Amino acid sequence: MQGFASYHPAVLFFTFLAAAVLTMFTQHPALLLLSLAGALGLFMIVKGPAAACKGLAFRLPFPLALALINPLFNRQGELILFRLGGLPVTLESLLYGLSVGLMLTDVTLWFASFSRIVTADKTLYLLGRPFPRLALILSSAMRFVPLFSKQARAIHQAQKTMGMYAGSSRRERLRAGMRSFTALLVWSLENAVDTADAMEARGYGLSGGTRPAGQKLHSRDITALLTAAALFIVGAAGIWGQDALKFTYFPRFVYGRFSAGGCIVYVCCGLLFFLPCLMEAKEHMRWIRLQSKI
Amino acid sequence: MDTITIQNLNFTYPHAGCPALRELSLSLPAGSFTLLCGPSGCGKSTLLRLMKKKLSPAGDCSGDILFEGRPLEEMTDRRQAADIGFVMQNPETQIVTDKVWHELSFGLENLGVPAAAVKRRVGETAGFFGITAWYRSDTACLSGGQKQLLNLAAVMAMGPRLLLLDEPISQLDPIAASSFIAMLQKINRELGVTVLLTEHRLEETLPAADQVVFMTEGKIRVAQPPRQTAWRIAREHPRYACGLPAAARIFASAGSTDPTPLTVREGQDVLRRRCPSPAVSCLFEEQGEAAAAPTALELKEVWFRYEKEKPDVLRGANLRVRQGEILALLGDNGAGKSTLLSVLAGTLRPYRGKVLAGGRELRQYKGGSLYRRLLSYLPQNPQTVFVADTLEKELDEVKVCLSLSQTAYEERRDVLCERLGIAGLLDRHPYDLSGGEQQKAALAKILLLEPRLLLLDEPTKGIDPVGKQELTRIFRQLRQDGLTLMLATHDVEFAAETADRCGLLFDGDVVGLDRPEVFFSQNHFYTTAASRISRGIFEGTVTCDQVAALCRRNGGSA
Repeated sequence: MQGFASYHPAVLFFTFLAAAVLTMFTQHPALLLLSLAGALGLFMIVKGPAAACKGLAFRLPFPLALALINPLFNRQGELILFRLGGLPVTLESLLYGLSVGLMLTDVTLWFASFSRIVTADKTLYLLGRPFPRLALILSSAMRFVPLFSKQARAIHQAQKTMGMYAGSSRRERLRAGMRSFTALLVWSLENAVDTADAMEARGYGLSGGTRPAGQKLHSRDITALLTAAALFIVGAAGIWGQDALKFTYFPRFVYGRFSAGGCIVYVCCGLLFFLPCLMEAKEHMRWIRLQSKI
Repeated sequence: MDTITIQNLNFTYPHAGCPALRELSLSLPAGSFTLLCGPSGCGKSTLLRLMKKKLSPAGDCSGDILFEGRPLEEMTDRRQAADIGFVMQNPETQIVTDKVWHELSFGLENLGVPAAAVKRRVGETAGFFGITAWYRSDTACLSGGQKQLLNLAAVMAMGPRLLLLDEPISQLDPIAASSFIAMLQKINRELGVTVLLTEHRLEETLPAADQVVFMTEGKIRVAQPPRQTAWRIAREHPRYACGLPAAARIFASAGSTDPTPLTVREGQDVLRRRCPSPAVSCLFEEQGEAAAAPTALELKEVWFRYEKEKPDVLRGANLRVRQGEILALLGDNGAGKSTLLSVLAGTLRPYRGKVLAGGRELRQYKGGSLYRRLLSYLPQNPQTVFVADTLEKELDEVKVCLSLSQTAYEERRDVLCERLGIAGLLDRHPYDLSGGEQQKAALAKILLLEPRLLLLDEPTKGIDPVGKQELTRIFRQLRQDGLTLMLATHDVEFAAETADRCGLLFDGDVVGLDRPEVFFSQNHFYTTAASRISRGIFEGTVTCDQVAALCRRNGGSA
């Protein structure tokens, strides 16, 4: 995962956001399937084929379940398949459930890759531009988390070897647990004083502080950002404006006719969904090419 | 011009009976390297903090502190932040952010340096300190030595002219400590930054300094170049001579010569001159193997790793701890000493092999019965032991744990506190105690559990030389009471003076387990300074007292 993830955080953030937004605002099965393919491709690159299969197998029952459950609550639609307890079960509501489930699956897949690629420090960096104070607070909080859990383990171990967790009754154990939690709090307050001293000693709180020097927006980042933005605009405009992309379920299936304009929108959305994979592939090819030259 | 001039400084903490600093005058010439030493609580830290306005404690202060000829109060906060750097004791808590690069730029950002200039300064600082390799790392994944180096670098990035360091190496292992000191010398020599350092470990820091200041009870007793200070401490304050470098200690107690030797090489030269052909070269008779004492604690082919994918930390480790002995386990940072102790204490479980305490496997002890009147473990950081807000309540915990009667408990507690010398501290908050007192307080709590086996992880970390001597005395006394002690330590001098047997943990197993005289005199690198000094002249002398005794015996008055 060196290609896509190495782009500027803003590029990553925008690409994920664009893909998720397009997925969430369309009901068109073709687009949802394209989104699924793109998200799955990226997921496979991030976590490897085995984990991707597992992830998919874990998620697929979800749209199926929704397809079965939705007709029980949603009575709209004209094509009645059969009646259940006197109430109609329609094909439209069955397929609608499937489509909503597919959309949710797509979005969760996108976010699963997102959380792997846009790591905490990248988020922090993005936040840090408009809110430097907040960024510092978050940064020191993130510094504190591993410290806190390490000390919690050490206290637990120490208390355990003093027989403090060995009490037979639940009440006794609870009391011992509370005790070590208090100890942890005292310890962290005590250490916070040290950290505050270290911050003050290095001039924290003086007026006119500057922001951390950020990561540069390289030319390839700008190209990627413009590409993603263009694809997103065309895709979004198409989904809302083009008749060819219309797809409604109720009261009966209505879908737009095939047109040249619609074709462009399909291509743009598809390209956007596959943009991370394409960027990854491009970097991969670059290295293969470079290697073959040696 | 002097970087710092202090004249007639007095300081009293609020509600304190006696002043913390008294009539104190001192000057630090520009570009000098000054070492400030003295027992815990002598006012070193207070003095250091008074030189940095933002960290100054509240209290009653009189006298003058001048920075480059002008009173400290007249300096703006901005100048103080930039010109006076301060590094504290605990490497962990001084780090503010989660990334190394952000830590380095933190101070400069506060000063309002433009982003491009920050980047350049951070870049050159990272280069000077050799931290470019982990520039993008998380601060959480650095070792203790790396963390402290980062703290130093983060302060130095601001370009200070005076660097104040409050026991910066007391939490580091010996290797990290000496590279930290080497870095300080480099800063002092190559950049001309004035350095003021407080420290207990004088073996390496004392020869590095231009001026050594010795304080007790808030007063400066000696402030001279290292050789003279060492000589005067040995003469005038013999109680604190135990903190001096081995060479100085040996010849101070063996009748001193002038000039006082400070380093191992100087010590060897003096010893060779003194005893060119010693008549008696060995203190010990060749001993047969001691009568086999019963085994108190045993590891049998123990294998351990933290996670399935991680490498083994213990690789078929075997160890037999005899009943009633003090066994010291030495080894590098990351060799797995703490892991081995945790395995012995039953808090980590090996994936292969057996751990036996008192002849039974650990897992046969159900419901914490192992930790009642059998085995206790004192962790590296005594603060993990404390849960209450006074020491008295802290010790009361044990009463509940062992369900003792009030009178029996109080009697035992008082005897123990008396012996450990903490009887006067019962109403204090555990966190308000000094490092040595905390260690003893934690030890008291653990000893109240009446263990037969005591496991101690780095018991001398951050403790001053007098405190270490006291620990040696306490441990010997416990051994006489029939306890078995096993300690993991970096501190070779302490192990040589305290332990009955020493072993090296290397490559996941304990090697070379033997009496300290044999263990250290057979080691070439991992050994005490006294052993290095006397090598080739005496045999099997590993502590300063032993070398001094032989020296006296051979050279009459010397």
